[in-house]
Amino acid sequence: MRRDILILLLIGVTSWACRAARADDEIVIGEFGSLTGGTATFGTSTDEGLRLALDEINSSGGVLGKQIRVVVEDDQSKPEAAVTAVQKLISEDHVIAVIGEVASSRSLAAAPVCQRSHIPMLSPSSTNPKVTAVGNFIFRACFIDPFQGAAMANFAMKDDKGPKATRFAILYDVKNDYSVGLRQFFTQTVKANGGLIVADESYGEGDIDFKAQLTNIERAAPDAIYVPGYYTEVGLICRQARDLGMGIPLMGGDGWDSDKTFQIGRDAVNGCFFTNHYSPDEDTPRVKDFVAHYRAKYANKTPDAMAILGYDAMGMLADAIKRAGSTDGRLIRDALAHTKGYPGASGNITMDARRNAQKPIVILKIENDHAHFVATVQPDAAGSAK
Amino acid sequence: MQTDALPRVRSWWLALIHNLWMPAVLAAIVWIGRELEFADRPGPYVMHVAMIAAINIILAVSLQLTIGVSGQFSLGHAGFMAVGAYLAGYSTFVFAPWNFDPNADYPDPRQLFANPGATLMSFVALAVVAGIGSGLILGLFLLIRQARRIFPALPLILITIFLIWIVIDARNAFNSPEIPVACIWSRGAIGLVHLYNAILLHSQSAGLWLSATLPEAWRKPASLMVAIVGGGTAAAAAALLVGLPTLRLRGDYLAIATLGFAEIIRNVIVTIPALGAATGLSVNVYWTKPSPADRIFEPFYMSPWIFGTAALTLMLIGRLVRSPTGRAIKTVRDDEIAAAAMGIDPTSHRVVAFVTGAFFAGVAGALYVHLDGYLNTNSFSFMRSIEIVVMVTLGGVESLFGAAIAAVALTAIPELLDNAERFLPAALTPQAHWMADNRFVLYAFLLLVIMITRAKLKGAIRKTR
Amino acid sequence: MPQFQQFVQQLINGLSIGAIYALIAVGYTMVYGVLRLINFAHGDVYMVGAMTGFYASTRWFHLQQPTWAGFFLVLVCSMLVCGTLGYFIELLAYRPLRNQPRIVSLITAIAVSMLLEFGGQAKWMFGPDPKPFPDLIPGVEAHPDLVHMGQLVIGKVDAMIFLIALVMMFALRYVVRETKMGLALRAVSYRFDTAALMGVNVNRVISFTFVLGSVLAAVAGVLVGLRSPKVDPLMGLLPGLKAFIAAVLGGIGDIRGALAGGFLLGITEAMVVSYFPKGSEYRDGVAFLVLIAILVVKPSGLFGRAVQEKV
Repeated sequence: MRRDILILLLIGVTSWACRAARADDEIVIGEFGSLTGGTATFGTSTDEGLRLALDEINSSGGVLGKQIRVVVEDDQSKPEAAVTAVQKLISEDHVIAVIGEVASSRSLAAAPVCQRSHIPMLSPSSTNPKVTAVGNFIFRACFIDPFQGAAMANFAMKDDKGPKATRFAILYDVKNDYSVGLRQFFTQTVKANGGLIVADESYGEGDIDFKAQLTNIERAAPDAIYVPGYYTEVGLICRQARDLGMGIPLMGGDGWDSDKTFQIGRDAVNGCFFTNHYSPDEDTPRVKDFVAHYRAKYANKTPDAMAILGYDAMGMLADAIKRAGSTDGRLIRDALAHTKGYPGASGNITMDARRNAQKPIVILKIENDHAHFVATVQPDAAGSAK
Repeated sequence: MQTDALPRVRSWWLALIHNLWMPAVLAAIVWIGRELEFADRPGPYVMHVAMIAAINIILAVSLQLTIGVSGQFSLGHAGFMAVGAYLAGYSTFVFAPWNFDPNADYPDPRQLFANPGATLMSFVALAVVAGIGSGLILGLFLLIRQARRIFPALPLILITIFLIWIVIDARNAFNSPEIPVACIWSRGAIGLVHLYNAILLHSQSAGLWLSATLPEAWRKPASLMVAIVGGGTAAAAAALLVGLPTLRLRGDYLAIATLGFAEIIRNVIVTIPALGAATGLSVNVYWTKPSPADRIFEPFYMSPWIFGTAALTLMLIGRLVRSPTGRAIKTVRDDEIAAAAMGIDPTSHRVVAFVTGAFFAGVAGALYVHLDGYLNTNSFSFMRSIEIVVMVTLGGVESLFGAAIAAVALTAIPELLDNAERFLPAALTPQAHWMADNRFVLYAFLLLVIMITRAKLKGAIRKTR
Repeated sequence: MPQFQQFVQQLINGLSIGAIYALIAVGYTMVYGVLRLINFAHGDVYMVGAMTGFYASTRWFHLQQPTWAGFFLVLVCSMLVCGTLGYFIELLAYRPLRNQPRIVSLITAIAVSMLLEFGGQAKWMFGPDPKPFPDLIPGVEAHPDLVHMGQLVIGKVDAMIFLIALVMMFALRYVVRETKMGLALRAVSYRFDTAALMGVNVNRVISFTFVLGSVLAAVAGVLVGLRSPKVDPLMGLLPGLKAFIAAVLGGIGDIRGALAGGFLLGITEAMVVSYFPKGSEYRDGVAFLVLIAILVVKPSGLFGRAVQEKV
C-alpha cells in the first residue's frame, strides 16, 4: 500500500517537473510516425527522408537564421498513441509545426489535436480525403485517393501501354483505410467508364495465405486484378496468383513501393503496374540528386516513396516558414496554403483550396525486377478536384 | 458476557462523514479536474495522459470485478469497450445535432450534444431491433434444443441444415440485384435494418420534445450522459449475449472464448460502413480549446467527466463487492459447489459480475471516444485486452484499489520512459533515447521480472510462516 | 466441371494452410496437456524459427543455390535455436511459477510473447520490416507445381508441408505411445504429483515437452517461410492464436486432435471464403466462431474425453 502511494507521488512529482527547456536560437518542428509496430517501415522511411532534408537545410544556414531541430515521436502504429504523441509535441516540446503521418487513420486521429491548438500539420503521405477536411490547419504533401484510384482505372482501361482491360477483380485489405479508399474510387471510375468488377475479395493486414480468395477470383475470369494494398502482402499475393496459374497483370497503388515487393515477389511481379509519387529512374536532376544523397547517407539503400515524400514535406515546411517570416502558427498556415510550384524532388507541388497537393502521378510497370516509368497523369486529367 | 444485540452508537458527525464522504470526494475530484484543465502546469499533455490513465482505471477496476472478484478470466474486455465506444460515438455524432441532417458530412461541433432526446431515441431504436433479432434467434435455439426429445442427434442435424440454408440464402440474396422473396433470412435481416431506420425517423419528434423539456444549459451534459450510459448498456447487453454460451466454461477456455468474441466484434465493426469501416469513426468534438467561461459539465472538455466517472466507478464497484451480492460472487468463485449447496445460484451471480464489468467497460469506451474524437478498430485489439489484464494482475488478487494504482502506473511508465531524457543528467541522453526507443521491450521485460519475483517473494514468505 | 474443380482446389488450399496450423497446434496441445498452460509465446517461437531460417540461409551460410543439403542445414539450425529457446523459456519463466495460480502463468506467458515480439522488432534485433525468405528446395523455382490439371494446382511446397505434418504426427505418436519418455509424458499429463511420487523426473519431462513443441514450431516456421516467403517479427501472432483454436477444436491434450483440428480449421476458412458472400472479410472472425461453437457444443473437442468434475 505504501509502495503504491510512493508510485503515485513519483508520478505526480515528475508531472510537475515536465517542462521542456525552450531554446530561442532554434526552430523546433515535430514529427510523429510509426517507428515500431506493424507499419514500422513507413515511419522509418519517412524519417530518413526528412532527416536528409533537415541536414541539407541546416547545413545551408537553417531557416530565419536559426537551425531547425526535429523532435520525433513514435506512435507504434497505434492511433491512440498518435494522439498522445502529437499532444506531447505541442504542449511539451512547443513545436511550431508537425509533420506526420503516413497512415490516414493515424493522421485522422492526430489532426483534431493540431487543429484546435492552431499548429499546422503537414502529412507527407496520407491519401484519404477526410484528413484535410478536419480543419484549415491540416495539409498534405501528396495526392489523394480519388485521384490515385481514378488514374489507375483510366490507365488500365484506356491507355495503350496498359492492359486495356474491361473486367477487373479487386483484392483489397479490409482493415486498411488506404486500401478501402482506393478500392472505392477505382470501382467508381471503372463503372463510369463502362467496365465490370467481376470479383471483389478482401484480406487482412498480416495474412500470408490468399489462395482461397485468388481461387474465387480465377473463377470469375478477370482481365486484371487491382490490389491496392501495402507491399507487405503484395509480393505474396503476386506469387500465389502465379502459383495458381494466373498470368494476368496485377495493379496497385503507392503502397507497393518498396524493395520488399521485388525481394518477396521476385519474378511474379513482372508485368504488374502501380501508381506512385515518383519514379526512381526519372531522368530529372532533382530525383537523381535526391537518390544519390539518400544512398550516400543511408548505406546504399534505394529510397522509396515515403522517403521522398518525407524529404519534400520537410522542404515544403521550411520553405513555408521562410515565406511566413515568423514562427507563428497562423502565418505558417497561410504560407503553406499559398505554396505554388514548390520544387520538390517528387515534382512541383502546388497546394489547392482543400489543402491537398496538386501533383502528377506516375504509373510504373515492373519488368525484370525493376520498376520502369510508363506514364504520367496530370491532376486535372483524372479529375482530382473532389 | 458481551452481547452485540444493541448496535453501536456512533457520534453524529462520524455517521455524517461515513455517508457523505463519497459525494464530497466526487465533487472535489470533478472540481480539481476542471481547474487542472486550464492551469499552465501540468499542461495538456500530462492532462491527456492522466485522462487516459483514468479511463484505464475504469477498465482495470471493472475487469478486476470479473477476474479477481468473480474468478472469470475474461480476455475480451476491449471488445466491450469497443461496443460502448462505437455506439456512443455514433449516437453523439449522428443524432445529437439539433437539426438532424442525415446527409451532413461534418456537423458543426458547437451544435453537437444539443439533442439528448434524439440520442436516447437512437439507443431505444437499437434496443428494440436488437431485442427482436436476438429474441428470434434465441427462440429458434430453444426450439432446436427441444428437438432433443425426439431424437438425441436431431439438434446437431437441424443446426447444420439451418447453417447451410442461411449460406445459400445469403448467396442468392447477394448475387441478385433484388432480393428474391424466398430468401427469408436475408429479407429478415434487411427488414430489421429498415425497422431501425423507421423507428429513428419517427422518434425524432418525440426526441425533440424530450430535449425541449430540459433547460438549455442541461441539454449538452444530458446528451453526453445519455451517450455514456447508453454505451455502457449496449456493452452490457453484448456481454449478456456473449455470456450465455460461454459462462459454463472455466479457466483458460473462458479466456479464449472471450478473446474470440472480442475479435468477432472487431471483425464485424470493421465491415460496417456506417461506423467508419477501416477509416475509423471521426467524432470531432474538440474543435476549440475549452475556456474557464464554459460551464463545468460542458462536453467540450472531458476531465471532470472522466475523473468523476473513474472515482464513481471505484466507489460503485467497491460498494458492490462489499455488499451481500459481492460476497455471494466471491463465494461462487471460491467454491461453486458449496455455494450452490448453500442456495446461492452460481450462474446468475457470475452473469451479474460479467455484465457489470462489461457495462463499465462500455462506459470507459464512451468516455474514450469523446476524449480522442477518433476510433479505429485497431485500438481495441486483444493486445489492449491483455494490457488491461496485466493491470489487474499487477494490482493483486481482488484488490480494486490495487488495480487502479496499477492502471495509473502502467499508463505512466511508457510515457515516463519516453521523457526519460528529462530526468536523467545530460550525459546520459543517448541512453535515455535508447530507453525511449525501446520502451516496449523494457516494459515486457519489466513485467516478466515483476511476475517472477513476486511469485518467488510469495513463496519465500510462505516458507517463513 | 469447373464448380467441382473449384471445390477441390479450395479443399487443397484449406489443407495446405491447415497443415501449418497443425504443426503449430501440436506444441500448444502438448504443453497444455502436461502443464495446463496456454503457452502464448509458442506462436513467437514459430516466428523465431522462421527468422532463424532466414538468417541461417542468407547471413550465416550464404546459400546461393537451393540444395537439399542446404535445406536440411537450415532446418536443423532452426530446430536447434528454437529448442534451446523453448528450454530456456520454460526454465526461466514458467518453472518458478509452477505452484502459482494459473492466471499468473498465463500473464507470464503473455509477457514472454510480448518480449519476443517487441524485442524482435527492435532495430538491434530483427527489425520491423519483413524479410524475403529464400528458396531452399531445389527444383521449385522452375517447376513449382506437383500437379497442374486445368485449373487445379497443387504446389510442391504445399504437398511437402502436408507430408511433413503427417510424418511428424506419426513420429510424435510413436514417441508418446511407445517410448519410455512418452510414457512419462502421459503420466505427468494425467497426474502431476503422482507421477513425481512414482519416480518420474517431472522437470525433465516438462523440459522435453517444451523442447519438442518448440522444435516442431521451428519446422513449421521454416516451411511457412518457404511457402509464403515473407517473415517478420509479428508473424506469429495470428497463426499462433488460430493454431490454439485448432488444438481446442481437435481436443486439447491429444496429438491426433491437433492434426485433425488444424486441417478442419484450414478447410473451414477456405470454404467460408469461397462460398459465403463477402466471406473473405470474415475470415478471421470465422475461426473464432468455430472456436466458440466447439466450446459450446463439445468443449472437449473432437478427440477429447469429457472430464467429469468430482466433488
